[in-house]
Amino acid sequence: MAVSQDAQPHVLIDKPAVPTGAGGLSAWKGGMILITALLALPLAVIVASVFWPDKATWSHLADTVLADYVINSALLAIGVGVGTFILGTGTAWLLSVCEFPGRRIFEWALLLPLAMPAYIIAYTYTGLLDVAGPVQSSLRALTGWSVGDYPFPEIRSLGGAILMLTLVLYPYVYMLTRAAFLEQSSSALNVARSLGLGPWAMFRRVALPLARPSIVAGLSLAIMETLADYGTVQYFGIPTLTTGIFRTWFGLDDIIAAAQLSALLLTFIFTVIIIERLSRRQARYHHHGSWQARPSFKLRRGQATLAFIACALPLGLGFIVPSAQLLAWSLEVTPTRDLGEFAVLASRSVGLAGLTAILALLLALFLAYGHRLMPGRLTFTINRIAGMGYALPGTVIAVGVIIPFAAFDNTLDTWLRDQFGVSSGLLLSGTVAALVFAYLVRFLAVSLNTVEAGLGRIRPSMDDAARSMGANAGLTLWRVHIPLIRGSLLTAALLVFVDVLKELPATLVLRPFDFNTLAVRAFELASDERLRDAALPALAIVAAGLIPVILVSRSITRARGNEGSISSRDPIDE
Amino acid sequence: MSERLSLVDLTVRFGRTTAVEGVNLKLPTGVIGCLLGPSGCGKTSILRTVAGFESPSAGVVRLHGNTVAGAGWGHPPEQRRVGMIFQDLALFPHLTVADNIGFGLPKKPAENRQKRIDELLELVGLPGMGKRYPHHMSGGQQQRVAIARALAPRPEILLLDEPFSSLDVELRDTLPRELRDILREAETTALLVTHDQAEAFAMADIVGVMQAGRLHQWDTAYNLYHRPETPFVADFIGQGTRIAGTMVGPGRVKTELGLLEGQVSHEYPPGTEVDVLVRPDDVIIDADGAGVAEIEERVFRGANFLYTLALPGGTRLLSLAPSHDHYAPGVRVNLRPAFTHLVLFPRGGASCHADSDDD
Repeated sequence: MAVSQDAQPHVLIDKPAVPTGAGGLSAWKGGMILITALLALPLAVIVASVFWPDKATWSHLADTVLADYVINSALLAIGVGVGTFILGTGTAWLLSVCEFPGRRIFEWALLLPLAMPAYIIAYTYTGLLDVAGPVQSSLRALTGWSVGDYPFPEIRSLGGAILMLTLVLYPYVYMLTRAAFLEQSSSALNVARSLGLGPWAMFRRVALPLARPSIVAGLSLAIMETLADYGTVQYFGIPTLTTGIFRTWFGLDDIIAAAQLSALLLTFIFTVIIIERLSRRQARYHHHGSWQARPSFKLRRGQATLAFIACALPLGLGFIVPSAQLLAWSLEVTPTRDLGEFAVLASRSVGLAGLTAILALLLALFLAYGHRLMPGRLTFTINRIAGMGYALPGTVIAVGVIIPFAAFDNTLDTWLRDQFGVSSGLLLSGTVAALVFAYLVRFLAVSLNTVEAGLGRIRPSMDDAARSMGANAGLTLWRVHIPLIRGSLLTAALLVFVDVLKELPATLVLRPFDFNTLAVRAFELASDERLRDAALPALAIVAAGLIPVILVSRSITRARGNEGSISSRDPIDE
Repeated sequence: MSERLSLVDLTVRFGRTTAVEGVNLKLPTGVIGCLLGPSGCGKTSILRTVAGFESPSAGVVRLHGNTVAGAGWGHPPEQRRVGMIFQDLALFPHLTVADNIGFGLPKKPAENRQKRIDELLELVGLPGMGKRYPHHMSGGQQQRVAIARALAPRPEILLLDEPFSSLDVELRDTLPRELRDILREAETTALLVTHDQAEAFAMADIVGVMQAGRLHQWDTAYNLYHRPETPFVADFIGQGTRIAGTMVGPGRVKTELGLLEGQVSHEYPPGTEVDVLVRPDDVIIDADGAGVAEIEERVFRGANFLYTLALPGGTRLLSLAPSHDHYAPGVRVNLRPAFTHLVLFPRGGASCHADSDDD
């Protein structure tokens, strides 16, 4: 690099050796490729497993339990699909066009069950509906029957699992469908009404077809969560693909077959994703501008009561009843011994979730800003791949992480022993590092999407302005972008934090020996029928889960406050 | 070395499209230049290449005698000391006016920084308004903040990308002249990009007319109007039409209007078919009626009328006439040529010598 001495001080080099900003940028791009390659490793391992030589396990599985796994997973998905469709679209419609008491509260409160992880609601209802539980006890006290005199449905069944998952997953359908109803051209609805359609006919013949892409999106989220669920079906003892993966891995000790089962599960999940994409592409049901008053039906007393019950039921069963039960159990057992253990669990969970949230945020900023600096197909594809882990269930990620990590550990250990006669033991697998890596694979998409959305709202001229005033790419990020998207960054970190706190299957398998988190402990205690002891950690998880729900419901109420007019000169975020 | 900016054979391509092709220009220190042209003509690409947001595909960019960009390379914008005013102003909404202006200044020493900020607030006529936030200011005030912010680090050159396009109509009238005074006072070298002739002529000492990536002429406003070098410039700047003619000798052209004589823009051999540019003030309507040209249309312009006239051969001309004597459409009149010089182009109208580099 020849710096000409007598040149003007402002231009350093007369003829540079490198093209425009290339040095830093190509390193940045290299970093993006490396990160994405690492994050895609588990998925690559699962896909590759399909081509690995088959031991006898696979044919054994095929002869025995495989059909059960597939049928149960499919029934579960269909059942939850139907259930969330009815609850989600029904409540969304009532709250979009009908006037009845409590409507304003239901609008956001119907999201609350999202805070309740399925495995927690499952064990709560098991306790509630148990022979010795409060429901059956009161029933016997009222009727004078004794145990065995009366038929009582078994909650620990496929139907029970469908019910539990429906109660906590319907908010996905509710949320997206309601937004679609509100965005629909109100003139279309007004025309329908002027043609003599009542609320029911309008719902069936106009609103529902118009909202189809959003409904399908909500359903696909609910079904993906259902297929990924491990805690509920394991607790209820239902053999599905997720429980089958762990059973094959630990019961039959065949991780390759477990990976192949994972690949089968992924086929189902990607099918759901593809169906969702197709339905979105087929039709663009965009509304055009006008915010006329949308039709509003004032319900008569009888109808209003029915509408109230229709909204109160999912809210009550999906959130209020199980939370109350958890609270009651927690208050029953709070000896100081438990509180000490709880504090340890909570600090572990918070530490783990906090660490992952910060790392995910940094990676998301690195990737999203990298795409902004170097827009193009390559960086776009890199970021989409980095966000793909969200489609992978925790069980599948656990398999996908443990295979390469164990292989690395074994190779290193063997090599060290051969060369130096020392053993490195397990360097990666079974450590917190492996666990955090698995979380990042699964949850990076959450922070990446949030950060990308935030950056997308900053006009490109802001970058150019900062650059022209002497700030390089890094300084521009620090002085312009980060302050402008503070709110998005906080949201991104919070969402990942809560997701990690709730995560069960990957944590269960990948955690270091004797390392417990709130989720793992709650699940273990519940599995040991120590429902009361499990209540406090479970309640803590539910409380944390409320954070994102509050964030979403706040944006709903805010959108209601100032529909439409947001000045472009206003500060971009918050 | 009085050239602050010079572009040599600058070509900028994006994929298969060529945005800028073989542009040469020199901008002397302290001069305000302007690139004028319809949207998509490549003027903004030149500005972004000078700033460092794009790299040339061929040619070089020199700032103050130093080559800062060449084919496929360029110094990053942050090392060029180039100030830029953006179409949307791009003020940082999270910073106060003072912090916006101070963005490009070193943090320390704080007194110097504050002094420079106050100086600029004074310069742009916003003294004492440093504590406000940009979104609490009017459009014109925001514009001034953007100017102060760009000038604060004392850039080598100030680049302005359609700086008035986001303003109200009244401001678009007064602000260009105000901005020109501010730039004069700060002795700034500036390059402006616009599609609006009024803006270009109000602001710039020297104007370049661009079309389809080419710079047709880089000249004073007077020369662009009176001595256009290409038919495009002749059509784009001011009003006028072209009529057919044949060279009959040096400085002599035979046309439908009769034999025109005068100083010609370009000499062609006798017999060459040419087009003669006729501005509305180049032909005078003679009061005597029963002439060759028919009044087709007239537009009242206050002090004068703008007439559209049809010659027997079908050619149309424009003529300005004082509004106290007027002619109704359909009336036949005589025309008297009043050319001070003749602007000639070879017949066909295709651009001939697009590149000009005359200082």
